[in-house]
Amino acid sequence: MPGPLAGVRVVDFTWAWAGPYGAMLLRLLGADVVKIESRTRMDQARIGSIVLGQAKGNYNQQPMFTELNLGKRSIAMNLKAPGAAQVVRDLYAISDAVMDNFRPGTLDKLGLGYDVMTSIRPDHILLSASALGATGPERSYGGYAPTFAALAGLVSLAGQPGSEPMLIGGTVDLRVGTAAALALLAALHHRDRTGQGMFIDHSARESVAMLIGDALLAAQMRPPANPTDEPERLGNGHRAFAPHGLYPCAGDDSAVAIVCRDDAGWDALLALSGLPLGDDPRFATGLSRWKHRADLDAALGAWTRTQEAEPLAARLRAAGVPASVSRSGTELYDWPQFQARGGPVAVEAKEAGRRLIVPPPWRMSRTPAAIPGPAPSLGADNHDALRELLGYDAARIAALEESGALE
Amino acid sequence: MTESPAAPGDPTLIDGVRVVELCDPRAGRAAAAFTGKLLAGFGADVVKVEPPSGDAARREAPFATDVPSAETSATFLQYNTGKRGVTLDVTTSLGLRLLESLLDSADIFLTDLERAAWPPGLAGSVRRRCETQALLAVAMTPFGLDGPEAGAPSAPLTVAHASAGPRNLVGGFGARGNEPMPLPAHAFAADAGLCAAVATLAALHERESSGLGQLIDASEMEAITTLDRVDTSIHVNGPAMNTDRDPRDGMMECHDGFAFLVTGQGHQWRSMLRLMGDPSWAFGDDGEPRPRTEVGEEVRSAMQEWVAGRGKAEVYHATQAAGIPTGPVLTPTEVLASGQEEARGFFAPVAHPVAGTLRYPGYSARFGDLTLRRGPAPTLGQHNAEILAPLLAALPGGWTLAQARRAGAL
Repeated sequence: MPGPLAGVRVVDFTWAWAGPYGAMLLRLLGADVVKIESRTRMDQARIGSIVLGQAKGNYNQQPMFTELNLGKRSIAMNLKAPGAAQVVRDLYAISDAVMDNFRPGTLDKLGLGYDVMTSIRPDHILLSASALGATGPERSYGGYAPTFAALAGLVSLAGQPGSEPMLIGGTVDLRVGTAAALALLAALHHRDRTGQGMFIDHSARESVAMLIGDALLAAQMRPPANPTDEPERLGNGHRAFAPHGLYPCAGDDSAVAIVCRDDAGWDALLALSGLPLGDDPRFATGLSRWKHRADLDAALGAWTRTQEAEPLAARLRAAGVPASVSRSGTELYDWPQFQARGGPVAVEAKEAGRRLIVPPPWRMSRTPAAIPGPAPSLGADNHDALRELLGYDAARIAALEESGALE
Repeated sequence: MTESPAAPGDPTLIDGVRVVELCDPRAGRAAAAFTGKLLAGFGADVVKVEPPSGDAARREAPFATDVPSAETSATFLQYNTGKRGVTLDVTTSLGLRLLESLLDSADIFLTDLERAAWPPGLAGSVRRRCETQALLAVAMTPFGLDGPEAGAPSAPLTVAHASAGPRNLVGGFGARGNEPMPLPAHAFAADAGLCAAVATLAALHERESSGLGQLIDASEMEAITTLDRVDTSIHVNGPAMNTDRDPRDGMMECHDGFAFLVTGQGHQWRSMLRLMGDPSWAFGDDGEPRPRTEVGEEVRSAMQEWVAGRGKAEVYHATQAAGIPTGPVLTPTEVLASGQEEARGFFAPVAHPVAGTLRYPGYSARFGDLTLRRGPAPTLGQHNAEILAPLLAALPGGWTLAQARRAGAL
């Protein structure tokens, strides 16, 4: 059974991380995603990352690109070359939606904006994603994941108590991409019901801000003395529960997260550990445990340090106490629960080789999502897509190559 | 898109879609509630079913009132905007019967209950409804509905660590001076709720043509692991990355906080030099700027010096005007005061009968001329009479709300 978006075609102009991931989610759900990219202005993810750096190898081998463009078609195009815009307009005619993350207005300047789309297909959907949105005084400002995260308030909340705010990088882009994909699907449903398309103006900063709405409400309930006063950072801690943290275990880089939300959890932890804290008045109630959480964490940490993480976490869970080892990405793939849910999945690409990757994040009983194959090499579908999707003959494709349109 | 909330009856993105949300009353489980909130904002009629004691989020600090109240928790208010709310004790036969009555007219059933916690008979009923009434059932659990750790004791913190989110976030143990920790402010729950909403709306699209329902089995674990797919893939598969500098180099201290500056590309670096007055050390004998990677430590100290004499706002606007992508580390209060968001109407005042009027964030998109539906979270049992009274009256024998309350079902 194909995915739920089988029959939906999306033209994807996006580059870097956020937009490509959003379009890829649609691809995992069965949409046909035609990525339009360029040799002259290469997708940044084919070159490197401002946080992760650059991998050895060429532009078809960069892991950022190969993870964020699975199963897409790639047409390499110089949009300013003669004939290129007509190819795009022909693609508009056979597609349901378009995504771009150019600076606002760029698509219009290329003669490929929303007005053109709707003149070709009146119910077209354009999702235009930018750092701060297509309106407002800061609409021309640029950004990357760490800057959206900072502007949205997320960074000011992230970090250990008393420490500097924590840099948060590319993973924020994937949150932005998810929000963009959802916006496009809401518009698609609206079109299913009404026959009307729409222009969607998407803001990366707002995507991140809406994930921390509770903190934005909290700031209104308990306003700081000065607007620049940084909020309390909790790290692994909690506003009400203790123990609630990450505790070191035997060996290097090994720790277990433990949470006690009530007396039953605390009693179970005491029974299992044998720690002589049951009669200690500092730890008699939930509130007193929280007040003395520094002492509590020290006592608990001294014990966990003598324990192997995996068996300890398993024993705690068996006793009803929420607990887990703190896994690395590598350890994730060895986790039986991750494997039972279908991970990891192997994909093989001509140049990037065989890679084990994370599966789609949903199980759908009737129209399953799936990894549709590897990311494309740059321009891999120049010929096939133009021939199969648009019916161009060899002479027309050759002329486009001659004019530099397919680069 | 205007700032004013959509009035009931205005066209919205998914109006007419009926959602029943049954949430786990335990602390910290907010993912499914976020999915429901998003659908409500897009115009769905979302009925939240809470136990008579209320959702655990109602007891979570901070509160809008000096005395903690079930109606004023920031977490509950944020995660339940735009929904209608009823109380049902689904462990009673009458309560379960009423839940089934609600499901009779539902398009989507949204729950974050672990499989073992589903009331008796409900799983079979939901499965039948997926086939007979094209119900979309969305199960959002910590680890998915199956597998060796499905249903194991967990809390948001332990799910995050189990799923490698914190280690990926900080780049490992002790790397960049941080111990692994999750994102703040329930952001992982929002992530999971957002992720599940994507599959839900895709299934809703497919259902328009097929007329068929299905079960979507989503999890917090899978939402976190897909968001980290790039880091994870690099750790597992390689290749090793060449970083010529610590990315934290971009984090600079202004006189009133921090800002993150991106100056890696040639034109960005050239602009930064211009802002700093074109210092001589930055240029070679030929008068051209030396590559940023060759000028070493002087870069950071010079940029830090330029930034330190300025406030976050000045650094932000001056660098952005010069084409340098910069993000000041704004506090929530500063985000709320943003002129950009004021102009875009991202925050809108929503009045709540107990918590008062607060400015709530909307969605990250403006949808043509359609508006988001912005309404307050329901008070506990607020819509019992409106929603449950007709369902009770239609039961054999014809029940009243008072009778149902006496029977302990509400």
